[in-house]
Amino acid sequence: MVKLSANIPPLTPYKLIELPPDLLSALEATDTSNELVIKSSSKSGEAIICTADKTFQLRRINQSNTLVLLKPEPASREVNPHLVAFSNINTLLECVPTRGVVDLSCVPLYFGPGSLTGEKQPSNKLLISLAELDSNSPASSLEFDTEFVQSFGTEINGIACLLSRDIVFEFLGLALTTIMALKLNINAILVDELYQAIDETNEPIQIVETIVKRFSNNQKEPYNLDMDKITKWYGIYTLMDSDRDLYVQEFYKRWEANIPVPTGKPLNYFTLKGNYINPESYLIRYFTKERLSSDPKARFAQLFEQKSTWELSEITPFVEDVMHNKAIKIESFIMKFARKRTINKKIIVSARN
Amino acid sequence: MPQVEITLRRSNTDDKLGQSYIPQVLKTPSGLILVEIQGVLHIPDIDHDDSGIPNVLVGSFDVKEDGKALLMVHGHQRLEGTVKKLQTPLGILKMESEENESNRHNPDIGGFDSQGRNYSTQRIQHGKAEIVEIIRHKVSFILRPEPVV
Repeated sequence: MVKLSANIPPLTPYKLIELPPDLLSALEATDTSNELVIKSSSKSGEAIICTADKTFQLRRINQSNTLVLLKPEPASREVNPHLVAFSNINTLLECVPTRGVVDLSCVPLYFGPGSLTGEKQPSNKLLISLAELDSNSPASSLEFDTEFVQSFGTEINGIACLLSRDIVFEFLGLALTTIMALKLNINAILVDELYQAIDETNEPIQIVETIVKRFSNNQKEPYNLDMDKITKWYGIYTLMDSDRDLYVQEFYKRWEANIPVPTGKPLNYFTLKGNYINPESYLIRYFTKERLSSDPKARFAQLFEQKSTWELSEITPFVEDVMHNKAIKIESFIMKFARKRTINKKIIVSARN
Repeated sequence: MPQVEITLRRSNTDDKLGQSYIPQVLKTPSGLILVEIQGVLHIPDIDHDDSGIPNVLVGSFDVKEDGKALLMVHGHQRLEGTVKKLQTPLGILKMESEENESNRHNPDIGGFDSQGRNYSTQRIQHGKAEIVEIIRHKVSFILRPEPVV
């Protein structure tokens, strides 16, 4: 028998936290950069715990049983062992996998030199550093970086900002023509070399770096630029640039004219799925799910307001994100809210009346 | 926005206590053991001793290599228990206490320095916490205590 005594202070600094495999392996990795971080979301007030690439929601679970921590009494010997209860714990922290949330709606847009001052930005924009924005975002570093790079995020003069569409258009064009003129290898771009060659020293190097990273297949130098990503961005830019329906042929002409270098591939607007709608088969207009309801029923109603019949492949990008049960087929999900018919081997989706 | 960085305390395995009195599966580098009991462990309310010297004798504890455990409380209650593997390992997380947070930044809003950098980075409050041990087994006493006759 081991002698057991207790020295339990009323307030314990100890908490018990469940460690699912991803958290455990991140913690046990010998690389110290893999540490865990607890963050709290300023909006919901919920706490999350992140590894370098994953996010977990922290939930407090009250226990009806008491969990007691014992430690060996330092002076006790093997022959006369003595354990001390030093902490009483009634709650466990459970870690539930979740997706990190990166909300960039408060991040100011960069239009050019001097545009990041308070008076040139709407009042709802926050002038904070990149480190602070990362810290404020309830997401792991990787989730944050991915979303930030995807949105042309950068830090200029210590302020986290997103490059405006026009700045991206201008500098992507400059970058591509420079790469072509100097016969640089598009699969091995060095930011410094490209920035020097562009010779637009009014703008900081971060502009070129951000654009190169956004269109690269890798996240380290030398960057491997992906012409398909670039072509797609120009397609979406062309759609957004028009405030009316375009004839598909007219759209193709504009899209091609916007890309300053040959793409080497024929353009196809199907590659822009999720960013357009065909009001008629020969017309095209910019359209995304961004402002649509997150409730599936309301989402379908909004989509049928845009047009009464959709092809299955056409409607899918606008409803996938509200399909919470990923185990079922998209067709079965759509049939819950809409009518499905097969006409000429094409699956047509329309409203239920 | 407070942010707490968590690191794992890496115990030197050479310091591992012998603890021949507990089964191999219960052994941890720090010697910490997790025990689950039904209800609350009542301890006479006396002044706590910060020096860590145990000042209240609770009873005795025994756990055999086959996982059977026995807890005698105050000599008149007997609890039988077993060693159980936890479905999900538990980390014993030690939060840094307020007064020890030497690196806690003043939450005042910062400003630009001469190069216009580091705007308000001071607003990030960094806390630290440590997982002092990872527990994979517990000793579970979930049956009602029996009186010792």
